[in-house]
Amino acid sequence: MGESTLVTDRITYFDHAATSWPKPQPVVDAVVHAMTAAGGNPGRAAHALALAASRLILQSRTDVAALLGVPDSKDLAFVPGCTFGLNLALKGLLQPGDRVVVGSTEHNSVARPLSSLAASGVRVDIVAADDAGRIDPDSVERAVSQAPTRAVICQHASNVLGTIEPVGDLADIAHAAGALLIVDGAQAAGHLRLDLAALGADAYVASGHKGLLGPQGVGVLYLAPGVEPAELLQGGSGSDSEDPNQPKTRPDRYEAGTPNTPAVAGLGAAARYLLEHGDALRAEERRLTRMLHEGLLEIPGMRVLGPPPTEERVPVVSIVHDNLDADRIAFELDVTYKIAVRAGLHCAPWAHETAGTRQSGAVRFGIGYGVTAADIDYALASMRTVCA
Amino acid sequence: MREPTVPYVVYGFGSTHDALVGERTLLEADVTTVTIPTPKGIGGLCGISLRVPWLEGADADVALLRAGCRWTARIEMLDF
Repeated sequence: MGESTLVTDRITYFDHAATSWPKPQPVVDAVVHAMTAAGGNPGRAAHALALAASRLILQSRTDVAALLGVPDSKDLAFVPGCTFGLNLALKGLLQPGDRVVVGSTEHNSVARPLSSLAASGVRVDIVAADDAGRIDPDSVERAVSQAPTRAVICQHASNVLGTIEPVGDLADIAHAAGALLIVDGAQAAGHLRLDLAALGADAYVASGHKGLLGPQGVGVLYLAPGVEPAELLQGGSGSDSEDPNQPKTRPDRYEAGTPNTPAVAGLGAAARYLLEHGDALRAEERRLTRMLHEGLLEIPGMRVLGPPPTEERVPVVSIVHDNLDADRIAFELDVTYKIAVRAGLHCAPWAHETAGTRQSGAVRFGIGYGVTAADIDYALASMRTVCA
Repeated sequence: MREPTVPYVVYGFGSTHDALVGERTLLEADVTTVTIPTPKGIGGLCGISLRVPWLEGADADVALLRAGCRWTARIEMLDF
């Protein structure tokens, strides 16, 4: 067998909105440590290896809570991913006959559970965002005033348009109407400095492997004190084993079954990394995002979706070109320039409908940890050639 | 001062999370503590309990209460 070349040696990676890569070395080290030195089943025994795993989980929960501004780490549940957490929040809190108000740019991780819930009798009313994806709080206020509302549902930031939604205002509006606010934070966590206790969301769900820089296979569900959705799964928790019912204590209620300890340990290491370096990383992301955005706008025939460069956004820049299909651009970038981007609808047909790109799709550049100004220059030079 | 008649105090908790927060709290308060499998008969709790020398039980109570760490069972044991 001949020598192989690692694919990763020559990739310029712009798919951070799908999953961040590479990970900080402490994250990788923490995963390996969990698998080699703490391989017991957390919470399931009192022997040394199980306790080592249990302590890793506790430390990760403590550090993620510190990063996200959660005073009591028991209010954070580790879930298999953001989609799981959103399903838990939505299906655990909503009943047939309930009404929800939701923004028009939601990802399928919200849109599809809502479609399922609508089939069982939940009324789903959509508030239209503008074509840059901005949700007007006044529109939401009008919507919740029209009929009793169980919940307002909104993403914190769009995975297609980069738009940051005014979730603090939406929390106030929802609560004034006696409703809950459920937030999909997949694209915000890590990329925005968060203080969940102050934000006012009743349920906030984050992906562990995107801006939070953790491994795949873990997400975070924050539930404000007193918000008690029914659990999606029942099973072993390491507690109250004689009780046939799932314990009601947090976090055990929402963590049935053996957790993904290596991923949780990696996420904890990522949280510690972000606590130390997050502000600098976010500042650099903003600078590079604007640099890419403005550079793309200079290419003839190019349209950048979402808000203008002068408006803050998460590090997502999606484009369409007058004469080139999105998939063609992505393919050229991949095979000729070894640049990784994502083309298509990004699991968010609602967002593309809002932006007027449901038919064409778009090419998305996601910026994150490890991307440099030289990468942006290279991407822009490549795009100028591809689109010439 | 009452003489010790039993060697240990064992604290049981409702979840592993609470038990390990308790362990951390006691260690930070310089209370000698050992994690043990929850003794049979203590009740329907998580599988981990904390064993503290009887003479340090009062200090442990104070440390746990100050930290807001609630135990769900507290028993005195001759041996474990």
